[in-house]
Amino acid sequence: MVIKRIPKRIMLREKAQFLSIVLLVAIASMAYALFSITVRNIDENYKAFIENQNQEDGNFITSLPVDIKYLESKYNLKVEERLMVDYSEDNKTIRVFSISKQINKPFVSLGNMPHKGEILIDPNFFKKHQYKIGDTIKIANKNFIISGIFYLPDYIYIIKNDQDFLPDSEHFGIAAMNEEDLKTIAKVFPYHYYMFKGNLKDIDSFKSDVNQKWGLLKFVSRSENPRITFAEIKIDSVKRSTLPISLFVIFMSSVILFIVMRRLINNMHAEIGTLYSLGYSDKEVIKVFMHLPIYIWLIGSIFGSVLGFIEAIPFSTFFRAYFALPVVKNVYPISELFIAMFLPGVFILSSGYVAIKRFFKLTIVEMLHGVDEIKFNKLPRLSFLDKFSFQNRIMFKYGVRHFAREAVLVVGVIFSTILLMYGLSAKNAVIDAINKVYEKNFEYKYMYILNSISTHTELNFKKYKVEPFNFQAFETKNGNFNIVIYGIEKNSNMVKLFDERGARIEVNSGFVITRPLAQKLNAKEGQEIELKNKFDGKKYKLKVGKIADIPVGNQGFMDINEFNKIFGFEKGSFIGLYSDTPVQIPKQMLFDAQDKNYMIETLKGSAVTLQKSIEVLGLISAILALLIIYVLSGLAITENKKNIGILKMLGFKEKQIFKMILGFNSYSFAIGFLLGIPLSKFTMNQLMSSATKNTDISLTLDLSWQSVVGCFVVLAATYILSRYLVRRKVAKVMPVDILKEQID
Amino acid sequence: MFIVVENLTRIYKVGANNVRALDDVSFEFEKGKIYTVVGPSGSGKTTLFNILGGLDRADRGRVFVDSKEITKFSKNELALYRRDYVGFVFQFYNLINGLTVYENVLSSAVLSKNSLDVDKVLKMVDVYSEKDKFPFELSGGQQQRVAIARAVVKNPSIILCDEPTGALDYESAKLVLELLENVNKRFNATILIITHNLAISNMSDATIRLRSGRVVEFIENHNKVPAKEVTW
Repeated sequence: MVIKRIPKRIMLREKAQFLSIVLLVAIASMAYALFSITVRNIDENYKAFIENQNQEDGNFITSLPVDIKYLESKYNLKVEERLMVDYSEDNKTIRVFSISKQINKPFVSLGNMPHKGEILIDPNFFKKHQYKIGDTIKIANKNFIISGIFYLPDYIYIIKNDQDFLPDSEHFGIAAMNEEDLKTIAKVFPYHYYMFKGNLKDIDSFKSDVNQKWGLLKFVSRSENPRITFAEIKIDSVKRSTLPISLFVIFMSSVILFIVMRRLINNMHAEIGTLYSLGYSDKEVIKVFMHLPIYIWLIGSIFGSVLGFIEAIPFSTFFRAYFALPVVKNVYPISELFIAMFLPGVFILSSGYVAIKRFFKLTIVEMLHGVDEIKFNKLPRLSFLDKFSFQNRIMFKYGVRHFAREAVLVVGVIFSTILLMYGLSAKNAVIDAINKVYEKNFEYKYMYILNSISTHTELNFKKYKVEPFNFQAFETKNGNFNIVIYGIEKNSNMVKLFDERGARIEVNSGFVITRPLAQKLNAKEGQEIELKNKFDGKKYKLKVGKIADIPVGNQGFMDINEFNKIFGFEKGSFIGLYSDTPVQIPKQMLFDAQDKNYMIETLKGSAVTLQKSIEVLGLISAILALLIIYVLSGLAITENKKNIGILKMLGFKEKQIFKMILGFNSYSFAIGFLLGIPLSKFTMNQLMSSATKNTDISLTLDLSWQSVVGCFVVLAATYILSRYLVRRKVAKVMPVDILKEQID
Repeated sequence: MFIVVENLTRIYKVGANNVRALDDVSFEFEKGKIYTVVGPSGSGKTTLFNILGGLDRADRGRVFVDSKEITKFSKNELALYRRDYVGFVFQFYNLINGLTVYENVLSSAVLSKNSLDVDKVLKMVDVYSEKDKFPFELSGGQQQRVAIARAVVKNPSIILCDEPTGALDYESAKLVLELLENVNKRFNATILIITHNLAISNMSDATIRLRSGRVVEFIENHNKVPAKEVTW
């Protein structure tokens, strides 16, 4: 039927408008396809990887070697020892493991398992330092040949310290070699590292048993291990945000399509009425006009889904590299591709159908005469606006009369603001956290953790400027999350705590907790909190004295003397030292040593990797805002062509006309932006609290004025660009053409 | 009689008031003749046009076309009636902007079982050379000729024209009138022209004068003149 050609011709005639909607649909499909396929790929690979390589259910460190057979039979577990040594040189640390046989088996993705004199390197460290297989790497003055790239199921998120935020392959990597080789580079192992597999029913008695017999230094169950759980949390948060983000874009494009279709069909009222007058039936005419949403859906979703599908391959690789996760199997689920294609169809076709159906409820005579004429009597008079100047009055009346269009613009700007603010604030939050925690609060330069808690009379630190500290790990009454309580010196020069106003807090004024911990516990000053010691299971009630403005960590601080008294340690006991200068501690006594400058550098360096995802978020939000503003403003110009022509004829300047017809958009933009700011804060808090629910890290995203200004600059630039594009449309409207359209 | 209108009444609600657009109108038309309907704005001309064309419904009264009571037709029957019996010519042409001249005429031809050859009709209305152009590329006179071609190509029994010359200059208007006269002669179609221009009634067989929804005069024209000689 010849009238089938009408929709194609309309789309070609109004190409900018339809292309924008097609792009919105494409973005929605692409977002869904990209994220869902990537997540499925990562998820399935992750599951296969941890199963094949027998990921641990936990690990523990002791001062003395344990009786593995005893533990295995008593607790029905598989226990395996793995040697571990950190080797640092040139600001780089390699953590070398012996190759385990049963638990946390290495997965070699390239090359071979190492023989004598050979070593495996993790893929990110390998790539970052541009190693090749067969290259030589020097560790403790001994050369090792790189035999391959490997992955460990308990180091999926390769961070050096448990409290690190992000992996940093520039400064830290893991390696594996034979036990014999490892023993040649590290003569002394001051502690013993064990991995276990099995369902440990009574963790408390296990810990207490191990502690009594062999001196438990650390116990980490699988669910508390950030190197495992971070990957799971990140996959889960991407999984959870995929559908809402895609649905929101689809919803926005559907609403915009609805408005465009309604306006377009209203503009074609006489033509549609004529089709009826020629004798076409309802079904035939609706079928023709339904081709518009069908074309938009098909072009947008096929293009977007295919692009998302293609992009999912490099994106999965990027994502996988971020986690150090190997490709165990290729997963490219076609089902997700179909969902990405058909999901927008449901919304787009429904909104198209509703827009068309509403118009077709009119009588043929109404169609021939035009809806605007018919509706004119129903338009609100808005006489209260008459006190404004003519131009402002027209501008406000246009805005109020086209409320739906302005509302979509507001929602679009809100969405773009949230997206952009999230990106900008995430970066600020990390940098702020690093600055606050490591520069303002923790003034020590070196931190040493010894392998036991005692008064350590054998050590002499008189020549160093040091402060002893002690700590214990606890969990909340219901076991929801972990808390580390530190005992530090009164008036400490190494750890300085401040309240929200910036005033110094001293630990002698009572038990001090960090802000994220207070938020998680919903605890206020003066309130009592109930905690359970993770080592011996003993329960404690502690009264919160002050809340310290530290943005990271579930931590508590108290006077070290008070700490030792409450938790049953001998007076003067400590486990570690804060120091301004490097301290010589016998290796066999040392559990861990941290150089703060190195940590700051590492963290700041790794914060740079956030930049890429922020840029992507910024770009997506700017494109969304541009498309939404452009389509809606362009629509206003198209449907007001006649009025613009007449206003030009009357002698109004283009600038004045633009203000009258589209001036209200600026108010909608401002409203959208202003509403977007508090809403970003709200959504970000929700997002962060759900993302960090099961971790020891708590990041609070604060809206800094820099992020607000940055967000405004990006969105305002987008707004100005779209206005510029639309303004060219106004310039093209010639009064003479309008008259010619009416009378020849 | 080909068209019989009996006591036709159409009431519109405008705000709180009821307006009688047509008030007990009755008349009869013969097949193959040209009729004009004249009257001031608001006299009910377009309402009559709409009801005769099956675009609108009457509140009271009956309309018979070819002995079929169209006032009883369902929505679908009315669509078939418009498809098989009626060709429309509007003041502002109402061509489909997304279709070329040829496609506009074809869109009408495909609906009819007895349609005429599209090319021949385009030649007849003298727009064949413009057949691949879009409506906005044509002058008003050319557009109206395309609209007539679209109405004629179905080979309808009735051609309803609502102010067909209202938007045209004198020369173009004269050409359109000549074309309608030609169509009437060649295809024996009953033509009803609604107009403000009293001079056009000179080329018709009869004129109905409406005022406030009522027929005030039905004048048979015994001195009918060819369209070429109509002047104003």
